[in-house]
Formats: sequence, structure tokens, C-alpha cells
Amino acid sequence: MKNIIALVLLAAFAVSPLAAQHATAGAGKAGARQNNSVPMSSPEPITMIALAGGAAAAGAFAGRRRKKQN
Amino acid sequence: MLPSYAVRSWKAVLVLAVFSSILLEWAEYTGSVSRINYCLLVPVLAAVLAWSVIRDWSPLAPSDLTGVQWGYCCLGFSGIMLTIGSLASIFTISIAGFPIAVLGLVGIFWGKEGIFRLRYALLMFFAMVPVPLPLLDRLTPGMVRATGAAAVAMVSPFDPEATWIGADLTYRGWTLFVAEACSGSGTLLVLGTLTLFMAGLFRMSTKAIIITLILVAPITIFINGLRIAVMAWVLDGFGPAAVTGAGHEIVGQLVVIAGAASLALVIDKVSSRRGPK
Repeated sequence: MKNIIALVLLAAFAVSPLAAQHATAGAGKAGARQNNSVPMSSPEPITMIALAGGAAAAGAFAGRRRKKQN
Repeated sequence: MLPSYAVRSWKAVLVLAVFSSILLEWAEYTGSVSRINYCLLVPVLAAVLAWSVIRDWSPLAPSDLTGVQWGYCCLGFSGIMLTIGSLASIFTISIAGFPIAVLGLVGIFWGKEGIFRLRYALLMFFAMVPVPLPLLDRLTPGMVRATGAAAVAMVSPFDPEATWIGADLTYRGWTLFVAEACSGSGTLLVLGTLTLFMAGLFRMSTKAIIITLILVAPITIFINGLRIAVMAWVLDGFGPAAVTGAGHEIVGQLVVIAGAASLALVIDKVSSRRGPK
């Protein structure tokens, strides 16, 4: 199962250059928002990394269960 | 007369060749949009599920005629979808033909029994079809409202006057503007896809898969609300610089990954309690 986790993470890192990143949210104190807020664009989550992380965790749990059964 | 594995290989290569241009377009398109670039990982996860079955593959009976016929029907249907999608310039229809073609090939090679054994991997393949963005955008207003309500509920114990108006969270004098792209639609797709992967990994029953998929929406709202609440706490503690740029991305990714890992843990615990299948 370590191989599965490694494979998933390796694939995520291998294709991550294809992912696009954007600038992020703006924030500011109420009343001073115009001075402190950062120009907005549309930040989007890099879903591939989130899926890779979740899949790696699932693989780890499955591997642990298989060891217990063996 | 070519050996059977050579014939199968040629059939697989032919299908790949027919779909090659749409697959290249798929890779380019999904790779360029962060919200759906999880699709690039789906074939890898489907291959992992297939390998987890194949490594324990006991010899199969020869392919049954029904399975082979059904396989050729699937291949034909996938070709029709590719043609219609190409002529109508509807990308989703074209790319949806590929998982059906894979299903057809499995039916031709290994019959109904092969389809049954690889059912989780084949189901996973369908997740590589990206949801059309205009459809996703229709979910955004509702998800923003729900996510905002969840975030306010989480920060209210620390600031009873915290409010959510439009897309602004007001917390301890700070105003955090939450972009529509942070509505949680990307997280929703990730958790749905992860559910399909875990279905194969933990051999979940159909009922469990359906229940988990239904629960994905409220779980997404919780995770996204938590992400916004965490941003608000970081903003209050460290100022605007901490919630822009790399800081925002890192915190956001960590919260979503933690949420996905938690879902995997819950599924693992529930399915292990039911015993091995």
C-alpha cells in the first residue's frame, strides 16, 4: 500500500505543472477596507492536490487495515 | 493467427488512437482550470483500483458471448458519442465516450465477470469527465449562502456580532471578502470523486456509496465554512498579509485535504465495523 500512496502523490506532483494558480482573496478592516483590501481576482482551489491528499490518506487507511487482517 | 493478448493490445491501442485528440484536449482543458484539474488524477486512481483487483486475479472463464456483445455495443455507443460531440462541439459528450469505450473493452476482453470484478475502477473512470463549468456556476450562489452561514456559526462563539452579508464575512472588525470561486464547488467535486475511489478501496456496498455521495454536499459546506472561519481567525491574528497569496492557498489546501482525509477515516471506520466483504 505504500506503493499506492507513493504512486498517487508522484502522479499529483508530476502533473501539477499543468495546474493554474491565481492570486487570492482580499481582506480589510471595516471602515478601512478601501485602504487595506488587495485587488481581487478569482482564487480557485487546486483540486488535484486535495484529491491526491485524500486518496493518499484513504490508501494509508486501507493499507493499515490489510496489515491487520493479515 | 495472433495470440489473444496481442489482439487485445491492438484493440486497446486502436481505441486510444481514436480518442487521442479528445484526450489531449481533455488534458489541456482540465489542466488549465484549477477547479477541475482533479480530473487529471482520476485515470491514475482508476488504474490503482484496477491493479488492486488484478493482482489477486484468479483465472477467468472464457469471455461469455453476452459480455462480448455488450462490450461491442458499448464501443459503438462511445463512437457515436465521440462523433456527435465533435460535430456539435460539445466537449462533455465527446469525452464521456472514453469511459464507455473502456467499459466496452473490458466486456470484450473478460465478459460480464470481468466487468463485475473491475466495476469500481470502471465507475471511477467516469469521474474523469469534467462537469461543465456553467453548470457548476449555477450552484455557486446557493453554496456561497450555505457556506457563509456555516462560517458565521463557527466564528460566532468568538464574536457574537459576526455577520455574513452578500459575500462578506465581518468578524471582530475585519471584513473578509470571499470570492465565488471559493464557494466550495471544487471541494464538492473532489469529495465526490474521493468517495468513488474509497468505494473501490474499501469495497463499499451500493447503499453506503449512495449515502456517502448524498452526504458529500453537507460535508463540503462544513469544510468550506471551516476554511473561511480559519481565514477569519488568521486574518484577526496576523493581518491581511497572512490571508493573501501563498498563505491563503496553503491554509485553504490544508483544510480541504484534512477534510478529505477525515472523510476517508470515517469511511474506513464504518466499513471496518461492518467487517470484510
